[in-house]
Amino acid sequence: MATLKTNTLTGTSTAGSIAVTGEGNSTTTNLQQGLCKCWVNYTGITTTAERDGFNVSSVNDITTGQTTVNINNNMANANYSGYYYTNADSGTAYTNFSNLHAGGFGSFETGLFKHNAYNASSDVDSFQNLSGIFGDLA
Amino acid sequence: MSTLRTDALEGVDAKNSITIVAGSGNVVTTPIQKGLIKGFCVLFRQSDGVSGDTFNLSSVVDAAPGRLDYTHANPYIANDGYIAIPNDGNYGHAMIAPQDLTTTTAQQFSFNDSHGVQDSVHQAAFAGDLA
Repeated sequence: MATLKTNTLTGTSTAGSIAVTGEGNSTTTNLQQGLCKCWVNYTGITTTAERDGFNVSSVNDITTGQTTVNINNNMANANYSGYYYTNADSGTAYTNFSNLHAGGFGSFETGLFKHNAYNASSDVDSFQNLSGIFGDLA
Repeated sequence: MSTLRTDALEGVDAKNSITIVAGSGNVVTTPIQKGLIKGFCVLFRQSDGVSGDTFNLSSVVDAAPGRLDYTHANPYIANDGYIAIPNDGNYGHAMIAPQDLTTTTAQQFSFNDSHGVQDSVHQAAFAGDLA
């Protein structure tokens, strides 16, 4: 097996574009486009705090149930895609979740995105918040 | 176009870190390892136990009504050191919740409109830091 050792990969024709062969060996996919550009696992209970994450400069409590995730290296535009899950419950056990819960993005901006955790009657500070975004870095 | 052929990639200064130019302006870099999806389950249908393709999951178990237990083949670096991206594969009829993300396991629940646990078609992906 051949192992390439390097610290950096750069496309030759276009610096930000490298194709890799897919698992079926018949198609290619774009390596850069397939990477998650930012992800975060945080709690909104008491003090909003990041447990772990990538490309996140900070998470800020806006108000009850609403959080701003600030991106370290910005996205190219606001037209990126994302995923957000919240248990929409203030209980700190993993088995605590509102079965009426819903979470959504409040906004997409190049340098941040906002979350809103809702439990069918009101916004709620939540124990479990999991989110990632895909798209083009600036 | 130039083609580089290799079977594996490894960082030189740090084995677990390779940066790649990824910005639309061809300047900004991002670490490859951080951005990769580390595991997925295409589907697990609880009604009959039919399962689809998986990646980095050693087992997917129908643990109880509405509950699926995943075991990661290669563990994550810490409890809550990663995210789960769940989905309901039954036309979105059920609400899906990931819970209890440990280094080696994760749980996923599905609920019906009456807010009770109910079997469904589970799908999930995982991203974050491997051990």
